[in-house]
Amino acid sequence: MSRHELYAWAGLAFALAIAGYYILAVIGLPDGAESVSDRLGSIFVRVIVIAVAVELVLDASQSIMRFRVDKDERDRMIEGRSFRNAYYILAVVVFAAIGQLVVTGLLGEYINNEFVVSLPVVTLHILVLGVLAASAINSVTRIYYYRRGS
Amino acid sequence: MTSARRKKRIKGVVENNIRHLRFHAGEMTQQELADLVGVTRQTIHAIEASKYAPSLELAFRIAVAFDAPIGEVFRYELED
Repeated sequence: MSRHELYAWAGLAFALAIAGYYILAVIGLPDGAESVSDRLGSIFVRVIVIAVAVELVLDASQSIMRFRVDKDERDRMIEGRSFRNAYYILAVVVFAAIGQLVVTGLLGEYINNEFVVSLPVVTLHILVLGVLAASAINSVTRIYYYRRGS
Repeated sequence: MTSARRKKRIKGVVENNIRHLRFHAGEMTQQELADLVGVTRQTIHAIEASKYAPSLELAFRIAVAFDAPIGEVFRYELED
């Protein structure tokens, strides 16, 4: 497994942990599930700590093997494809958020005030989860191409 | 080239003799070849397995590393 593939796995774990934590923070746990909330919190923290540790160890190992090539044409090709796929997801999410704002503006006069106030929060959630989804797609694309060539 | 063949889209895979050439170059390792041509070992592995088609420049660098013409290192296998 190459250094860049390990980065992709760490990035995917990081994005999923943050997304999970965010969704739980927004939606909350169902009734009677408070007993597992502490355990879930520690799992999220552990995933994030491991992801950061993997990146630090990889950086340190790279500085030891400085004479070796860090990134070549294949890495750049995979990077380009992964950013392209992430961009597609992000573009869809941003257009969805813009569309929602436009619809809110057009219909704002016809719906009650309480609903209108809550809509910008929904837009924020859409954007945050969209960024995390794009990050996850970026990592998944990298993993796919690195696995395919292994 | 016949006109019938010209109409059909040419499709194929870049095959290579790198493993064979490494063996005859003093059992050169993938890492040694990678260091020589300036790529990662994983890229050499992917090229050898025909999972990645290198750029023209990298293909020439690999040929130079073996002191062989590029046609001896790489060939284009047409798909049916």
